[in-house]
Amino acid sequence: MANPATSPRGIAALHVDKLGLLVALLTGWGLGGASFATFRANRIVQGSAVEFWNALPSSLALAAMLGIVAAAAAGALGRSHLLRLASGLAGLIVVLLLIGTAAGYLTSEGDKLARVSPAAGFWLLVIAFALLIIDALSRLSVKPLVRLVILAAFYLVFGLGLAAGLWDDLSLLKEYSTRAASFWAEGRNHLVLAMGSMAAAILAGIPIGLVCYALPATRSAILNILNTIQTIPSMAMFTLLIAPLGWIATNIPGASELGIRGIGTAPAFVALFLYSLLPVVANTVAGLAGVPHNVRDAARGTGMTAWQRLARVDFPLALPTILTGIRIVLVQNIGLVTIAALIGGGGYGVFVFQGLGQMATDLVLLGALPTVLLAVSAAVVLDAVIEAASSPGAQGKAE
Amino acid sequence: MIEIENVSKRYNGLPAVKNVSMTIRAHEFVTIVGMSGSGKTTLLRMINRLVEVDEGTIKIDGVDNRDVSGPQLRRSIGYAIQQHGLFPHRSVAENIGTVPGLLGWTVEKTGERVDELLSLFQLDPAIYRDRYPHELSGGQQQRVGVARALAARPNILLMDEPFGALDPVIRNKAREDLQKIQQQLGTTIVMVTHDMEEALALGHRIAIMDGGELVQFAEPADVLRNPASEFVESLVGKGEKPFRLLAFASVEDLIEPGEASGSPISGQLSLRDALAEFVAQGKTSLPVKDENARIVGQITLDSLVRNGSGTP
Amino acid sequence: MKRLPALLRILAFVCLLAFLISPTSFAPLLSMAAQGNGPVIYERQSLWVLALQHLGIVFAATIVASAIAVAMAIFVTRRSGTELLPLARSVVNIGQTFPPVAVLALAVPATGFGVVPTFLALFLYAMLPIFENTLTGLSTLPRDVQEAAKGVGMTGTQRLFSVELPLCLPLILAGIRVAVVISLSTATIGSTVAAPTLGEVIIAGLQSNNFAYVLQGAVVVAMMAVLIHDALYALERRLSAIRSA
Repeated sequence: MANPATSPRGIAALHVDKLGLLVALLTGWGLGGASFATFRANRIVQGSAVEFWNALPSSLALAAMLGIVAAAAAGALGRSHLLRLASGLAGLIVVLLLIGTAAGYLTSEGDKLARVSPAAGFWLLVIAFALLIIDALSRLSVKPLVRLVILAAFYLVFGLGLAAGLWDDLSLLKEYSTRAASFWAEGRNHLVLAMGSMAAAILAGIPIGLVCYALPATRSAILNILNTIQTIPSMAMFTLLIAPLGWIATNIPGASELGIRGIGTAPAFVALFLYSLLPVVANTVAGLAGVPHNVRDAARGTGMTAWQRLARVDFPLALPTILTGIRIVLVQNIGLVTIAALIGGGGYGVFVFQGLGQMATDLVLLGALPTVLLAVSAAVVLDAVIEAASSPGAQGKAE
Repeated sequence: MIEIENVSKRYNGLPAVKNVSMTIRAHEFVTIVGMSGSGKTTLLRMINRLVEVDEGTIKIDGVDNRDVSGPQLRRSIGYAIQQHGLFPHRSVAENIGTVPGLLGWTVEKTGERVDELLSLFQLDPAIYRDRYPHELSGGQQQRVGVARALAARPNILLMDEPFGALDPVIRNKAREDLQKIQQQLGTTIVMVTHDMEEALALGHRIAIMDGGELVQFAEPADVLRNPASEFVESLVGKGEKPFRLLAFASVEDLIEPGEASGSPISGQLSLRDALAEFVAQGKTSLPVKDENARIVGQITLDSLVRNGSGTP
Repeated sequence: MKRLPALLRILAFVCLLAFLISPTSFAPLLSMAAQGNGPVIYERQSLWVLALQHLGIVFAATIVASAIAVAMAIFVTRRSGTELLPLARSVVNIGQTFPPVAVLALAVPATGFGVVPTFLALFLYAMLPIFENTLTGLSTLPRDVQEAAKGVGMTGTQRLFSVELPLCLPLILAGIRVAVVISLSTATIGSTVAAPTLGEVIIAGLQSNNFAYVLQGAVVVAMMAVLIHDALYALERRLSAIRSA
C-alpha cells in the first residue's frame, strides 16, 4: 500500500544496471589498463609488469580476451541471476586457467629461479567475476547448506586443478613446493590452536553464560570484564602473557613438562581462549534471555525440574544463538592465530611475518591466502550448522 | 475546498482507488470510513501527494495540487497519523516547530506558536516544551502529533486514524478536543477511520469507501436513514442504527408542554442519553430543564420512540 | 561502588599520560622485567611521538572510512542505488570474515612497506562495521517517523539530514567504535610492515628479548584501546538515551 511518492509525470529513466557498469569497468581496466602478471628473474628482485597481450601466446590472448569480454558482457547485461552466476563462474575459471598458462609461457624451459605472479589486472578480473557470483548468489538467496555444497565443489575443482599441476609454474606454488612439509605442519598448528582454544572457550563459556543468566547481579560485571579483554589489541595481549606463563613454567613444578613456556603455544592458547570467552558467554546469555516467557512458563507448568527445563527447553532454544557466538569465535580465532607467530606460536602467521621480514611477497601470500580461505570456509560451514540447528526448533521462536 | 475529480490509483495493476469524485467544502469535517484495503488511506494520501494519482485531478482551493512540488504542498497541509510519528530525537517544541522551520519562520515566531499550540492542547509549555517524545504518555504524544500538524496554520488537516493507538477513555476525550479545536479554528479536516462510531460522531459528512469505490458521501443522519447499499447498512449495524439516530437529535427538539414527575433532564441532552434516563428512572415521561435549571416542559418516551424509528 | 569504574578510568588515564610524558620515572618499576643490565625504556623514538603516530594513523583511517562508508550506505538505500544493496550486504559479510592481519599482509604487495599499507588495511577494514551499522540503521527506521517526515513536507535531503541520519547516529557510532578498536589492534601489527606505531616497541622487545620493552608497549597500547573504547561507548549511550522512543 504505502508506495513512496514518485515524481508525478517523470519518465522512467533509461535503466542502467549499476553492477553491470561496475563489472564492465573492472573488466576493461583489468584487460587494458593494468598488467596481468609480474615477472621476476628470481624470488626477491624487483619485478617487471607484463601486459595481458604479452603474458600469453598471441592467438590464445585474443581468444581469451574475447572469452572474458563475452562472459563479462553476458554477466553485465544479463537479467537472469542464473545467467549471471554462470557467466561469473565461467569468467573466473577462464581467468584462473590463464594465469597458470601465463606462468608457464613466461618462464623459459628449465629456469628454476624465475618467478611469475599475478598482478593487478588479474586481481581486477577476479574481483569483477567474483562480484557477479556474489550478487547472483545473494539475489538467489542461496541457503547456507547449499553454500556449503558450493564451497565443497570449489575445493574439489581447485584441488583437482592443483593436482593436475595447472598452476605449478606460478610463483606462489614454487614457494609452496620448497616448503610443502612446513606448510601442512603450520596449517595443522593453525587449526589446532584456533579450534583448541575455541573448544576450551565453549567448555568454560557456556557455564559462565549460565551463571550470568541465572544471577543477573553478576552479569554486567562479567560481561564488562570480557568486553575489556576483547578491546585489548591482540599483539599486546599475546606478548603480555609471555611473562606470567614464563613464571608459571619456571616456578610451578610440572608445568614445563606440560609444554607451558613463556613463548610458543601456551601464551597463544591462553590469549585466544580469553578473546573467545566474550562471544560465547554473551551469546549464551542472549540465547537464554531470548527464550519466550510463555514457553518457559509452560515448561514449568508441566512439572519439569530446573535441570530438565534447562536441558530440554532453554538450551535447545538458545542453541542457534550460542552457535552464532561460536561462529564469531572460530572466524576471529583463525585470524588471530596468525599473530601468535610473533611469539613463536606457529600457524600460517609464520609465513606472513617471515615473508614481511624478507620482503618476499610470495611467502606473505602463502601465509595470508590460506588464512583467508580458512576463515571464509569456517564461516560457511558454521552458517550451515546454525541453519541445521535452527530449522526444527526455531520456527516457533521466530514466529 | 478540496475537489477530487475522477481519481484512480493502481498498485501493481490492481486498482486501489476507482474513479472517486467528491468535493469537501471549506471548514468542513469529513470522515472517510471503510474496511482495511478499501482505499481510504490511499485516497487521503493522494490529497497531499504522498501518493500520486494515476488518473483524475485533485484541486485545492481551485488549484491543481500538482502545480507545486510535493514537499511545498505538504508544508501547507497538516498531516497527523496513527502512530503520531513524532521525531524521537527532537524535543516537543522542535517537533511542533518542524513545518514553521521548513517555511523559514523566525525563532521567536515559531516559539510563540509552539507555546500557543501547547496551551491549546492543554499541555503546559513550561513543562512540556523541552521534553522528548518518549517522556510523554500516549495521549500526550498524540496531541503533540496533531499540534505539529497544525503548527503552520494550515487550512486543511489530513488525519489517518489519529486516535487508533489510544485507550478508549483517552480516545473519547481526544475526539471531543478535536471537535472543539475544529470549531475554534475552522480548519477543514479530512479524517480516515475504520470506526463507524467515530466517523458518525465527528464527521459533518461521511464518505464510505468499499473496494476502492466511494459508495456514499452524505451527512451522518442521512447515512443512517438511507444507507446506499447493503454494505453501508452492515457497516452502520442494523441493531445499532436506532440508537445512532437518536444521538443526532437532542431533547430540545421533542420538548412539549406539560408536567412530568421525576428528576429533570437537560434540554441539551441527546435523545440517546435521554433514553438512558427513561430506563434508569423507570418513567415514560420526564421534565425538561433549561440552562438555568428552570423546568420548561416535558419529553415523553412515546415521542422519542417515534423519532428513533424514523417517523417523526 | 558505582563510581569505581569511573575512578579506575580516570586513574588509568592519568597513569598513561604520566608514563608517556615521563617514562623514565617508571624505570624502576620496569627494570624488574628487563633482561640483566639492558635498557629499560625504549629510546629509539619517544613513546609520546609513537603514541601520537599510532593514534594519528587510526583516526585518519577511521575518519576517511566513516565518510566513505556512510556515503555508500546512504547511496545503496536511496532509490538509485538499491540494485547494489544485496551485493553490498554480501561483500561486507564476506569481508568481515577476512582476518585484519591478512588484509594488512595483502596490502603490502600492492603498496610496499610503511604507513601506506597500514593505512589501507585499516581503512578497508574500518569501512565494514561502519557500513553495516549505517545500513542497518537506515533500513530499520520506524515507519511512522519516515511517514511523518514526508507528511510535514520535508524534501529527500531534508529527511536524510534532519531525521534519518540523526536517528542512526548511535548505530553509526557503534560501528565506528568497533572499527576503532580493530584499527588500534591492526595498527600495532602495522609496525611489522614498518609503520611507525607503538607495535615497534613490542617488536623491539621481542627481538632483543627485553621484556621491559614488550611490557611498556603492550600496556600503553592496551590502555589506549580500553580508554578510547570506553569513551566512545559512553558517548553512544548518551546519544541513544535521548532517542529511545
